[in-house]
Amino acid sequence: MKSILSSKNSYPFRHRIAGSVKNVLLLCVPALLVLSACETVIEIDLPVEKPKLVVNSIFNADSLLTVNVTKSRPSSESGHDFETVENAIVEVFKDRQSLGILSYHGKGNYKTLNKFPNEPSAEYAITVKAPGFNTAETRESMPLKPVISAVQVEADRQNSLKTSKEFKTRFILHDPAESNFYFLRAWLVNKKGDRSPVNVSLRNILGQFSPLRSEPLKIYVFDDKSFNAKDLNIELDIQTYIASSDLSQYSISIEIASIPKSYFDYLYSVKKQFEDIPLLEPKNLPLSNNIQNGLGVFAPYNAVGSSFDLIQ
Amino acid sequence: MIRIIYLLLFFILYISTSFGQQAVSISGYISDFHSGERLAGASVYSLNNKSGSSSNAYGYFRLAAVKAGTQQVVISMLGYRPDTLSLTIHKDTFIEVKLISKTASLAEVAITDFSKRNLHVSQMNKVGLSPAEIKSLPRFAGEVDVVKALQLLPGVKAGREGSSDFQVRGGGPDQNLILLDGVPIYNSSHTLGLFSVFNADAIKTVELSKGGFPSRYGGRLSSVLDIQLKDGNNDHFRFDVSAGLISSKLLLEGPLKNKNTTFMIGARRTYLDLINSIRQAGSGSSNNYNFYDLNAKISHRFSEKDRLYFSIYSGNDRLALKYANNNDLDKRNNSIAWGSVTSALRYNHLFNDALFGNLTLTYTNYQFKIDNQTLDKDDKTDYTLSYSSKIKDAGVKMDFDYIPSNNHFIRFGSNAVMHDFQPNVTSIKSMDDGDTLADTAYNRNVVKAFEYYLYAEDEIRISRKLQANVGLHFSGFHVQQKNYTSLQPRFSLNWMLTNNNAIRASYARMSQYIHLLSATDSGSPADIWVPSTNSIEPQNSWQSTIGFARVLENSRFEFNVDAFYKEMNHVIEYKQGATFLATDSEQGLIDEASQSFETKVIAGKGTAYGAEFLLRKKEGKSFGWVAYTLAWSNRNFEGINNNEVYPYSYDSRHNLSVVMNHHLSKRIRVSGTWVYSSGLPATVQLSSYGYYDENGIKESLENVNVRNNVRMKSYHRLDLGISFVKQKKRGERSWNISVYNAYNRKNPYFIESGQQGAGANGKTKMYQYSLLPVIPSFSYSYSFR
Repeated sequence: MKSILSSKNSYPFRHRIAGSVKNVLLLCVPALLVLSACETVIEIDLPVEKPKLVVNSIFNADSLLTVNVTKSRPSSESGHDFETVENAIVEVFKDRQSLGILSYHGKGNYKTLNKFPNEPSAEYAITVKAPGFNTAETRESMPLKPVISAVQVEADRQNSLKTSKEFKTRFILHDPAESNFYFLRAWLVNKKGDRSPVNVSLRNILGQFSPLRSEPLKIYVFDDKSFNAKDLNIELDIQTYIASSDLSQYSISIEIASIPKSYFDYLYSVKKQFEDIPLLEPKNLPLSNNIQNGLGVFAPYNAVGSSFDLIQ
Repeated sequence: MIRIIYLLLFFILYISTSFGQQAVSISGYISDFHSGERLAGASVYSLNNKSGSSSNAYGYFRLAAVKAGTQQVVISMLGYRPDTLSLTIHKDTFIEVKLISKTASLAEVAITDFSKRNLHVSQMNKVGLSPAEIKSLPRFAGEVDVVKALQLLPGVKAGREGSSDFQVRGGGPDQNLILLDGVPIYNSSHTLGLFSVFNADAIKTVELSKGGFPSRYGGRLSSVLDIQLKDGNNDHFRFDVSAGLISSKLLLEGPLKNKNTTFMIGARRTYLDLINSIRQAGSGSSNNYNFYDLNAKISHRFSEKDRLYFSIYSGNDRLALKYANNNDLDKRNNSIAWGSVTSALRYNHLFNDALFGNLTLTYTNYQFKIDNQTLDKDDKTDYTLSYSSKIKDAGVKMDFDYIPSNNHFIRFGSNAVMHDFQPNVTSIKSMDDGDTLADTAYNRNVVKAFEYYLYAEDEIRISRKLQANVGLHFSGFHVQQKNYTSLQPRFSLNWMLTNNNAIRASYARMSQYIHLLSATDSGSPADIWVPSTNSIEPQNSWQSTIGFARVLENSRFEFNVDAFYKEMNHVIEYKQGATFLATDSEQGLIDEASQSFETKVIAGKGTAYGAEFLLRKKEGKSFGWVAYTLAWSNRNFEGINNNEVYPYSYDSRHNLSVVMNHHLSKRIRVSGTWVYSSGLPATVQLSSYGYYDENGIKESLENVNVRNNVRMKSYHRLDLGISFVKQKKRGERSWNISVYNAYNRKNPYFIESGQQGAGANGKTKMYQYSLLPVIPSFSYSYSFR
């Protein structure tokens, strides 16, 4: 099945056509004004905002739960790092029953000692108490594991310098009837099990996006608006930069995960904040947030994966 | 609804039967001596009877119940020499009066007391600007701009820097009913708001009502801008030409066939694209922008009692970006265009000397469209994305002016409009290897709506000192099987304390059935008009005003102070983060394309209150005004700012305009304007936190959960202009040199926070972006007699 935006060189087209709407509008301003806009740094008395607890937790059903707790930083303060909160009490609940208090492991991370049992639709919640802050709370349900089938892999082409090699992977995603949200990513895994994300070019899905500009090709987020309750043939190109002689040392792991709507909304709002366009888009878009009395995101996800060696 | 109609009819019949008997009357038309243009708002006063009247929008007047015999009647109007007629009448008499404009001579002429229109009830909450006043102001890029002139008046706030939209008394830009020859205009600006669509050469009158709206107006909450086009000179053929930095204009007008038919054609066009096309000739790529507007009007007088008008406005902006490789194998065509056509066919009929009727058929077609095409002949691929927003209106309107006596001026009528809305149509066509992969359009459905209103109002002279305008406006909107109706009482009272002083008060309820959705507040054409629907209720408001007016020094000066309070309900805005168009991702495209606009908006409340002061000198070698507005404007939406009231995007506490014109001599005229506004609200991040993935924190995110949480710096600007006018053998030649933002103030356009310095020592600073620096310009015009 071909996407309506797919082609031999579908990746550039897809982005060109979506971006061109914005580009036309964006070009209006400088093209028409013929007038120089100028930027000046000004001093403005900003209202002082009290720091809030920032609670972040993104966890797979089959993984350890890590909750990262930091403070938000008022704009009046300098620096790039965010202050961690080391004396918080982080408690986890499953279906309103306490699973215990997490232990602190440094760098603001609080962790469970055991993996969570994979229980789709179970509701997980956490509370974070820290001196000087209101108690932050959040709850979210574990989504169902996505169902995929007919995974196929083929080596596609190698560049002339033999420094990169592309692999084409195809599989079918069986989408349930209700609204569903997904992300897809791939990893390069060495024999020791160390993973590093690889560039993925995803075809066939209208509406995909990457939340961060800095790594646009490493994770794709999408919903099922264009294929709800249907089987979707997914085709992706994975690009590796491994010397030919080392190919046998690596494998590729593909992961597709169901995510809750709140996580999808958060990632989408992050993306929109980073692509904010002066004059044509709303300024300073708020971020989606599912932490009560705090900031951040609490995001259980349920992933299914497939691996293949680079030399087949 | 039937009851309402009966109520209105009863009201009209009651008034007409109660006051309908009178003896001898003088009626007729008042027009300009040189051009034959009918003059609205001219005063007619009987010195014998000590009673007066004024001309309606088509120059018709009736002075009733005058004594038979010799009558001294004074006809006067601001900017014209008063004319005193000595009439011997024994029966109802019809006259045509021609007033001579004072513009040729700068001699001061005393204005008699009865012509103090500023103290009249009809002038409450209303400000007017003559084309001469508008043209005398400093120009922006050589262009005379009607809306920029209005922005200098009290209670009227400009949009973002340089824009040609405006907000009145804390209302939104969509709450202004902009009428061009009685037909609503949806998009009033060119060039992303830098220039208004109104060609000042083609305009006869400009009046802005800010409150106390007479019942004949409806459909918007905050103001009525009524612009009348010239009918065309009925005495001789003439034309004006002018050229500026951006565009050139041409106006032709004159009589046809026994002077019973007149015409006027005004056209304006930019030439940036023409210059570019020469420069880009031969290359496969081109970037072009242009706008044009055309105003045309033709009128024919069948008899003294019958006259037919046809007017049309057509205007369009178009930006086209084209790219093609050498062999034309790879092409990209992008364009954005917006514009409208409005037209009105109007038939005036004088039923008898007391009843003047007006039947108008109107048509409007507004369209905004973006087209993007990417074509690759090698791959046989063709991708086309189009986005459009359209409105088509067809309407019929009946208005009657009934003048049974000098103490009553009754207006009644009705209006019905069929709207076709297609607010956000997105279509995607895709071909690959010659195969059609997709040909899909989202939101193609036309939302049909029927809007109507009935009104009746009476301008009553209760006593020599007390005047009132009372009326009812009943409106309705039928959409998606849903009926919205609204009964709106209107009331204005004017009490003359002395010959020179008056106090006044007004109350008006208004309803608005269509809304403008703006993501940016920057006057983008991507702002779309949407109708009320099953789930979006009409906006409504009430406004109350109280004021004081005084004329000074024999009417050379006028002083007004007005206080107002306005409440607005069901005002709509985009939800946090929702947009229609500007997106960089396919997700955004699909979101925008597939969702109805109704899912992206929220409704809330607004309040506005404040006081306006205006000291104005309208005549003499020096004229101008000082306007000051102290105002507050707030909004309250569920889900925004924790449901708390927050300042509206155009809430500006203090606004001051100083406008001065001086004729140094018959040949040299200088002008200057200085404006000051305290800072507008803006939304900035007050804190930041980390973007986290399973490997830790990667990026800094802006925490922006409070809208309009800071104020930008104040705005001020000085514009200067000088005109050199010379009478030539065949007409008048004029050079104008203007300087916009003469002292190069870097006014805030928007602000945002950013990191200054790297690493741990980096600090969050506010960055202010300014748009328009000092801009000198010149223009040349020649007016042929």
